[in-house]
Amino acid sequence: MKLLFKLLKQNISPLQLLGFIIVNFIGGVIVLSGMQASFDFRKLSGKEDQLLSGGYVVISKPVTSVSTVGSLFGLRPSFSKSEIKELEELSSVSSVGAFVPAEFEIKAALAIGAVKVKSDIFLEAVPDEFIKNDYNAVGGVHRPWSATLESDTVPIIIPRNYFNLYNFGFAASHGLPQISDELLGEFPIKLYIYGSDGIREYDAVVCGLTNRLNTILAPLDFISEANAVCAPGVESRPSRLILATDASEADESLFGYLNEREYVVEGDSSHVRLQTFIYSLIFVVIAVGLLFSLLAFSLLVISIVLLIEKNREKIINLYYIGYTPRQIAGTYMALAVVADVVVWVSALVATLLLYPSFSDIMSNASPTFVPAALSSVVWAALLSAILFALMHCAMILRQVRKHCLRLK
Amino acid sequence: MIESISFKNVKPKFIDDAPAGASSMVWNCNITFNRGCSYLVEAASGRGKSSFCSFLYGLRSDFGGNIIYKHNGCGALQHADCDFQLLRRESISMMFQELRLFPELSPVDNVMLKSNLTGFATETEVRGMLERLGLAGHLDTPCAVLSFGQQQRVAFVRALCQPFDFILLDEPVSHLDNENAAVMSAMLKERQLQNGAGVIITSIGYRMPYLYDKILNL
Repeated sequence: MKLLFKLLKQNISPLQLLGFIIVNFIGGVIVLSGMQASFDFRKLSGKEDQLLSGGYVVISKPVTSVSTVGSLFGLRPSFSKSEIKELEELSSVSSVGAFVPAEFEIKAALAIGAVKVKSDIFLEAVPDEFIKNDYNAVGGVHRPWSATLESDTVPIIIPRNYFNLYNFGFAASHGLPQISDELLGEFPIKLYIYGSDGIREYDAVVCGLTNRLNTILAPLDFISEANAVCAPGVESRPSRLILATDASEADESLFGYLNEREYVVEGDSSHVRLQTFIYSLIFVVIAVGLLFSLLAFSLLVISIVLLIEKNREKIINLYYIGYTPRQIAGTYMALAVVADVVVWVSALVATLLLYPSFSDIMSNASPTFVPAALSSVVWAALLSAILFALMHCAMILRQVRKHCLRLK
Repeated sequence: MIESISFKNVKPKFIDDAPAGASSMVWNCNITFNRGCSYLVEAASGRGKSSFCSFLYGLRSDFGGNIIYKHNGCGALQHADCDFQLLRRESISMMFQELRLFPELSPVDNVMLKSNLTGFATETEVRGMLERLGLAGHLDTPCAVLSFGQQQRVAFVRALCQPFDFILLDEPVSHLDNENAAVMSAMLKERQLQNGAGVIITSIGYRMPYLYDKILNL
């Protein structure tokens, strides 16, 4: 093998080999970094949605001057049964749920130390299928999404901006402690429900935060029972709907339909579009990296094919004295395997070294950023090295065989 | 082990219509080369001497008729069914007329490249064989700077450095003096006596000095 390499290494172009290594290294770093970014972003964008199953969109009808006047007479804009049925029939919508508002008076009280605050609030509910069952709530405690009028506690989900309002506005100005996500379940909130038969008191347990719903959610069974008891005879008409989407959240046909019907997509539209934009950006970055890698792959193939052509006579002579095509190709295959492994391992190391900088930038941009595991990128690099090496070996063997078999 | 190689009406395609084959003792004839025997195949230029070697060594198959390799383990193998890469490593050795050495490698490396395939000879043994043929001062010199006669001796040693049942030498002494031809002949005889191989030598006029069992005109 040593002598064979001594013979066949003649005509190896160090410049071509270096070119392959540099181009493939750049491509590899871009691909691996792009992949890691997509994993991080997916984790970041999916973090708040862990409370809600699948992709979903919340829609309502626009508030106009006419509806404002109408609402004074109890005529709020709402969705009819036919409109809901039409939405259910859309291919990209798997199910439609109506927001059920609490039709009774509710007050929430917050008492931290000597500071006590009490305010009117508003609760809504969505069908349970839109909420993950037995989700891992904040603080790592499993709490079922369920309550009755007889319960002592009621789980709720609040918008993150309410929470931020407390942490960065109210707490700071009143000398109160800021509360982390992990301690959210310990947030001392009392709920008071005013019914015709009296006042009921509950401990509200914050189970999660959402950036995408501008409402306070409580379990549907609790709201329905409370509506029946505390506000009998009041008929709720759905003014907001939650749509579970099968396809991509950014499904253009769905948004096209909603625009056509002049439905308002709550808060999500820009979020979804931003998410789509970022994913597209990451996709383009990965595609550019793949293009680099593909070019480098082709460069090595061309280099080796040229090398084999230049060494054609040697290959034929080796074949004549008893070497098999596989033995002859082995030298070139070893060269390609070493080059591929060196490139992808270097690209992986570079990606891992660059990652802390990227991670810092993401952490500064988003306080909720938690880096995704790096194992996927390690696997991707190893698989790429194996795939490249296998493909290079197959091509080299084919080329050498072609030379040898041409002799017959 | 190959016991014999039989040419059954073998006729190169390129002399199909030529009258040259008429007086040949090989083309279009039935002739068998046996292990342990020595053959000289003589021919004028253009009579297909290199083709004869190429057919027998499995480098070409553009001929009519058949070549049968009688193997004491596998029976009679037809030319088309032979694994020539295996035969070239273990059963048939050839010294090419055009030598087919690697000019950038030294004589020792050239021989070891072949010997390593089967682990036949150590480097010390190889050096000893080359020295015996008068190449002591050129053992580590690239073959490119050696004369054709010196290269012929290297190619000869390379052909010896593998196991074989038949050895085929295509004009082995065309550029050698009598003294070197005699040494080569002695080394070949020693080897033939060791393993009872068949020896087939071709010549265009200048014969290698050897005790031939049969001389054939091509």
